[in-house]
Parts: sequence; structure tokens; C-alpha cells
Amino acid sequence: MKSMIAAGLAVLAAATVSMTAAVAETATTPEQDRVALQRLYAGMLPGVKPDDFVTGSVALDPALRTQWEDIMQFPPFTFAVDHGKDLFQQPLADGKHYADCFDNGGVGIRQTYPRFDEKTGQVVTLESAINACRVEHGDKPLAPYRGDLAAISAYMASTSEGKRFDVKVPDDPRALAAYEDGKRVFYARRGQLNFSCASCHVQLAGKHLRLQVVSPALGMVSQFPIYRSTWGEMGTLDRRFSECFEQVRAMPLPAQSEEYRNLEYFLTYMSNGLPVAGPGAQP
Amino acid sequence: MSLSMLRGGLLAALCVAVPTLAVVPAQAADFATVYAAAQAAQKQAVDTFCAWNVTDNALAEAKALHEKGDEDGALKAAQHAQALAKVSMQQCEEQKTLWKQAVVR
Repeated sequence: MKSMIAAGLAVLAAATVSMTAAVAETATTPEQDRVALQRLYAGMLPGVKPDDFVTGSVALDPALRTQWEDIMQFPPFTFAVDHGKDLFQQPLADGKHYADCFDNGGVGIRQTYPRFDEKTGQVVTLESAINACRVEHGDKPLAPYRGDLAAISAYMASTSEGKRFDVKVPDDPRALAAYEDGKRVFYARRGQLNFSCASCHVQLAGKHLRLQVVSPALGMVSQFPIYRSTWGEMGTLDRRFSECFEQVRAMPLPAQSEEYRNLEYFLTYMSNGLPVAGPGAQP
Repeated sequence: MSLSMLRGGLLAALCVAVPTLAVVPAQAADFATVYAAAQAAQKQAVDTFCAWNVTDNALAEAKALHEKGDEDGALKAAQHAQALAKVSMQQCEEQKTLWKQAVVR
């Protein structure tokens, strides 16, 4: 009996040690995650210069690059940027302007979003900040995914072109929890196809899925909001998230839901150091 | 037509009709129960961000078949929807911990 108890205790101790090791193994910092992911892509796609990751699948396929260069001779997002600038400069319901809601009058700040708001304990994306500004000054929030919201976001992104992403995860357990939640959304499998974001954008990056070249997660956020030929118009990152969810046969989440905002937080942190290339266009 | 033939005919008609009458209400009741259970399971999946869009498709198919009077098809579609909703919840539950194994290190 004693030997059975001893054996049982030994198994319990071994299990405890292995569980502790497992917990320690998962407890990586955001910076360790970023370095690990950037190192992985450097190994997987050695021909791609680091800054070129911001062009997504265009950087991986010469034929696609040719199409993209043709498109960029007359960038299809130009109208959206102009329209977004007009909207940005119009007064809100109480006479205030968007510029009153943002640092530096909203110019050249795209690279610092998403941000963690210590007052609310939530991640704030550029689009959620635009809508929060509208509500604060007496206007209704804009519809997500496309249209005026994408246009204002496109204009604001255009004022940051070339600036390098510098998203912070402050020393606040709530910020780290939001980052970890975004990481979970990225790596958790979902939908009837049992795919995660990482299944495509890490494991299959640079490979073909039917006719499409799968873009790497690194730099993915840089071109948003983006004009996609398949949409025939501008769209926000939320729109792309929802499309991906549907493609793996999962139910998309509500626009600007906590999960989507946290996912954007994680993805943008992974792209820290890369230049803002938005608004962008994809063939 | 003789009386015995008439009796035989009535009996035969009853033999066919009674089981049919018995089966149709039972199927309708089964459909209502299974469909309601599938809807409840899908609502739980939606509320917890675990839902699959194909479950909604199966629920819509079940409803459409029921409205057309195809009770067998409706019941099968409702059962399929219920199974999909349950599996989506199971996937979500498993992924609460399994995702960590996929993290790039």
C-alpha cells in the first residue's frame, strides 16, 4: 500500500512539475513573441526584406507584384483618402473636430494604434477612437467595415505613411491580458474547417490556397484600411477579420468587439518596427 | 362489390392510415423538440463566440423543409444543426487551452 501511495505521489509530483513547466513555457512576453515570429518568417521567407512584409502576399509572388504595381500607378484608395480628409475637417455636431480628439490633431499617429486605454481597461483601435470621438461630440457612430469610417481611417493612415509601428503594451495586467487574449484569438482554431488565423498566415504563408497566395501575419495590419479588388472598395481590418472567420465557416464576431480589438492589438504589436503602408491596395 | 370486400378494403385502408396518422404527429413533435434544442445550442455558441456559420445554414434548411412539409428531411436537418452546434462548443472548449501549443516560440 505504501509503495502504491509513494508511486501515486511521484506521479502527482511529476504532473505538477510538468504543469509548472507548461505554464512557464506559455508565459512569454510580447517582445519575445514578436522576436520569435519575425525570426520565423525570416527563416521561412528568406528572400523577403523585412520592410517588404508590409505589402503582404505581393512581396511573395512576382506575378502578383506586377499586378500590384499596375494598380498602384493610379491607386484606387486616392478617392477614399480625399473623401476622408473632407470628413475629417468637417465639424462634428457640437462644433468640435476630429482633430480635438487625437494627439497631434490626429496627424501622423496611425503607428501608435491600437492603444491600451488605462481609464477603461480596453484596447482602442483607430476606428473605435474615431467613433468614440463622434459619440462624445454628439454624432452617431459610423457603420463599421467600409464607407466613411474606412475613408477617415484611410486619411489618418496616409498622414503616417512610412512611420514605424510603435504599439505599446504598458506595464498593466489588464493590458497584458488584452494582448494575451488577442494572441489566443490568433492561435485558437475555429469554424467547421478547424483553422486558426495562424493555420493560414503562419503555417501556409507564401503558399497557394487555390489561386491566392497566403500573406504572412507579419506586416498584415500595415496596409489597412485597404482597397481589395475582390471587394471593389475600401475596407477596414474588422471587415477582413470577419471575412476570414466566414472562410473557415465560423460565425464572424461583431465589429469592434473586444476580441477583434485585442486581435488587432496582438497583430500590430507583432509588426512593431515595420512601416505604416496604409491605405493600401491588393490585387 | 360484396360486403366482405368492402370490409376488407376498409380494414386495409385503416391499416395504412392508422400508422401514418400515428407517425406524422410524432415526427412533428420530434422536429419541434430537436429544432428548439438546436436553436438553443446555437444561441449558446453565438453568445460565447464559438458558433459556426454552417449551423445557421442547417437551421434554415430544417425550417424550410418543415414549411414544405418534408418532415423527414426537416428532422434530419435539425439533428444535423444540433450536432454542429454541439461540436462547435466542444471545439471552443478544447481550444481554451490547446491554442497555447501553436504559439510560435
